[in-house]
Amino acid sequence: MKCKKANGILFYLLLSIHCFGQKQPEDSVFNLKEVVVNSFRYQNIATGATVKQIDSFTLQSARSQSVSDILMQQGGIIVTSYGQGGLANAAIRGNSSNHTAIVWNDINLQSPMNGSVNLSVIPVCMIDNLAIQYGGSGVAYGSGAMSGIIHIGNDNLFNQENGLHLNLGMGSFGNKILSATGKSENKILASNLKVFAQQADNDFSFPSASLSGTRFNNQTNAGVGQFGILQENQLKSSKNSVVKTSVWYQHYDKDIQTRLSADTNNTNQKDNNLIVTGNWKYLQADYSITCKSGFVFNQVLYRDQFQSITNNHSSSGIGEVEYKKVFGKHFNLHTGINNTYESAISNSYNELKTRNRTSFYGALKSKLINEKLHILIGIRNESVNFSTNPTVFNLGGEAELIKWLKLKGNISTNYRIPTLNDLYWREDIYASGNPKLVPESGWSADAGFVIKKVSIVSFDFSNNVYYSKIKNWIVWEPNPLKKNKWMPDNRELGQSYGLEFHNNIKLDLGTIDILTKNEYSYNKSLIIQKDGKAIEEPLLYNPTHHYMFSAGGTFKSLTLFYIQNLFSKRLTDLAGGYLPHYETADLSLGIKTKLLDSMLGLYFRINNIWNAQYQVRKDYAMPMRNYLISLSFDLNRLKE
Amino acid sequence: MNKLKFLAAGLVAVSVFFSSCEDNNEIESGLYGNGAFISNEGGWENANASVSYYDFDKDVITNDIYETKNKVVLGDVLQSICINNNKVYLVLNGSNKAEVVTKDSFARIGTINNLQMPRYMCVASGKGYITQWADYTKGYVAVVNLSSNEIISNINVGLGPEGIIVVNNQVWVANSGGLAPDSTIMVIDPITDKVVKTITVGDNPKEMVLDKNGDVWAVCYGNIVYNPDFTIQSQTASKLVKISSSTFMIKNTIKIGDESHPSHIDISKDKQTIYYGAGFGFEGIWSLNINATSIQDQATINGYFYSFNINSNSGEIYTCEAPDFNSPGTLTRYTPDGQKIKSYTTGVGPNGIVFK
Repeated sequence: MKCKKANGILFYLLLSIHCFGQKQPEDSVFNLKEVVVNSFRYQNIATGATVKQIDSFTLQSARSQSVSDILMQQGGIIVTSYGQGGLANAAIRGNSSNHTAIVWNDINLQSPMNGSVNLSVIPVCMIDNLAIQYGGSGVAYGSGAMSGIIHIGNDNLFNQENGLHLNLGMGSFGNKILSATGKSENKILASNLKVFAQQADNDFSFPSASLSGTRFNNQTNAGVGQFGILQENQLKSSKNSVVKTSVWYQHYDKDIQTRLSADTNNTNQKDNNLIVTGNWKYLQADYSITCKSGFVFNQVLYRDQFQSITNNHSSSGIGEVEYKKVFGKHFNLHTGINNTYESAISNSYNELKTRNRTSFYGALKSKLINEKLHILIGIRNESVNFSTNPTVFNLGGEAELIKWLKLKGNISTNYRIPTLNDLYWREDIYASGNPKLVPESGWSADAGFVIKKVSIVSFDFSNNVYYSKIKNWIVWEPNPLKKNKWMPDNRELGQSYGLEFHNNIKLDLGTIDILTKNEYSYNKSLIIQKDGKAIEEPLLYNPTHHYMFSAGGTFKSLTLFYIQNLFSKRLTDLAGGYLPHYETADLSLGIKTKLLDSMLGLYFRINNIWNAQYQVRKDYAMPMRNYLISLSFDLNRLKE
Repeated sequence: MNKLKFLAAGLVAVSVFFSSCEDNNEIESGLYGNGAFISNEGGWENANASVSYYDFDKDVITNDIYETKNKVVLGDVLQSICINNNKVYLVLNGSNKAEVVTKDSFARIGTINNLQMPRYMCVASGKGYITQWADYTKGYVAVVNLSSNEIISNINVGLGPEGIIVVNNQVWVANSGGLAPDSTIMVIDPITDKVVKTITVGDNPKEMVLDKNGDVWAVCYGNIVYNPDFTIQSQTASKLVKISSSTFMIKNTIKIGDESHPSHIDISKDKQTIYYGAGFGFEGIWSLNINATSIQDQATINGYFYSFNINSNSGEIYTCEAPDFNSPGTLTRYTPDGQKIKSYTTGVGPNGIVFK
């Protein structure tokens, strides 16, 4: 892995950040701090939905990890990992990963080519917010958000303290991580620079059956090198307006992990990702207008075992205008129009493929009965290449019955347009895309309650039940009508239902806080109809039960947490193949201390503490007990 | 008294039930006697390749016998099975290896590594010969020392070497082209491991069989060229080609169809009837006498099949159906004239049957 070059660039960037200067005093004239320049759309329009915000301690202690590492430990979401540091997809509530949208600052990152996002390449240190929106309530996000959304975001720069943050991590399997953040602002301009570099050999040891019995083999060819840079600027361009720009580039160089059943592997994948955004926001007391533009570029270079390289790259140009209006005390309107132009070229296509998507969305939120009842109605319509898709709706509500009891629920219709691979995969002897595919469509609903009581012993309990149905599900299978060629078709009807249980108990004893957390999710996802015939086929790699327990606490500047996850067995095919149930446990310890004008943090983590032998994806070994230690240094961030 | 008898009968039934469950989970040495192994290739990248065993005497099929016995994943895409004496070679296309197991217990006894997209295998002069598609731009036959399971050499052959058989102690290789055109069959001398003859046949020969008269029959798939808009630009006819194994001369070429492309061929118990058909997009299993000069008007068996083989003991036709590559497949027995006998559930993606 070529990380020396990356480290050199990192050093240069650190120097440049340091020259940014010190924090300037607040300017009350602009008074824009409460203006949620970076507020995410879901925060306004997810009424009645279940949204789980990942807490700041989890994000802070996982700065040396990836987003997929955090999501693996959350209920109701299944992350399928192809080995250590390998491709990791997330699926919410039992449906496929194509039905879960991944958005960064409200920009959908799903590849137009295959509809997926590799979450293992998104370092936690590059983001400030992570939230999971369960169910199909994210109608405003359009195609692909059928069973949920993973929201990744970065905060309003004017809400952050100036300073320099440095994080150094070192762990098992030659894992080395370096990240740095520099933030500076003056009266009108705030800038932020985040850089990240990682190198890991991932030559871990795992038990394997051999001719002479079980022995330990060394995993090979799973090394990874990664480099990323995110630069954001926020400018108060006038008394009532703010401009924000972001540039995020990442390079990922990953050897594809050798499988348990194979002797060697020399395949490799290199990803280059670039996201450039520019927003202008104009604010008045009762309304705001936001103009957004974005460009997303993804390149994947896959080198197979014969050193032959497949070059796929896709890009999306995004333009959006958003309008928010407050009508008195009771009504908020949130509406927008979006145009996205997608293009992709691949060895697997005959030529450059493009498509133009234009959509309109709107949501009206009402706050009634002293704001104890919130109701939201949302609508979205999208046309692809000027062909209109079905209009989708969302109705959500939340009612505070008593101070500590809230009921909530929502119902929505949803859709997902075919990927460019589905449509345009070049026809050969065995396979073909299908330009006649129609979008998947369906509906989903969920309902639940939240009990929350805050005192010395704080209590938080929530429960949801949900149901969803997806028709015209696109599947790749041999098509008997097309001489048994592999091709996608709208052949199946799927349904998913289940329940989610969540409970927190926090004991606040002044200098000591003790917190326990329980999460349980039950899911049943089935294909119930195929080619018009009733069937009952479970979805693969989907555990029916997932239970997560964590316990820990803080004492002064010391934080200790234990997390245990249990997954029930997962089917790997419909001929009886399965992966057995498994449980993993992690222990994390953090300590912070003041050092002159700075805050020094030391984090220690033991992953898979009980040395469980497990596979998330069949035939890909996962590491046994391993360690990660990281040191963080925050200059001028004593408020933390 | 009746109650006691009932209770005793119940206890016996329960104990029989539990002992039979135990037997099902325990594969004993010597279990695989009179039967056939079915290769289930599984889904690409899904590591769910498996082997099924059909017992002729018990008329039952047992799935996943490799993993049950060896407690490890077999690998990715089991392309074919080759039996040599008391060893069985499981050729795994996606895992670039061949596992070696004992014929009577299926216990794993070795692995042939470092193969490059292996397809089919035969044994000649005490050595193993495995066709390899490699990187599609070159084709090789790996020569394997069957004692050490090491590759001795790789012989350059045509593109997409597929079917491989032994005729008169020579190794015949059908160069199917892989994903490109080729129209040759090559003959390797296993003493020198050199190609000694190249025979030009129809486009994209895939498999071969040897008939009663010592002639080799090859099924040639035909070549298809596509336009950018997915329409077919051109295609050549599929053919059956009969070659003298002594003179290497083509004795007969029988056109199958201008727009139909079968993948597989096998021969009857008496080696006088050729069967061909199956594969992606080809309908039916067809037959013809080795003296015929044209194909028949009707298929012996109608339907789409992934593969088929002829039971060399009974002459029955065994077909494989793979509805997709996540679901179980189906093995069906037919009489030699195409009457359905019985179907059995296999592992994922059955693609061939090898008879013991």
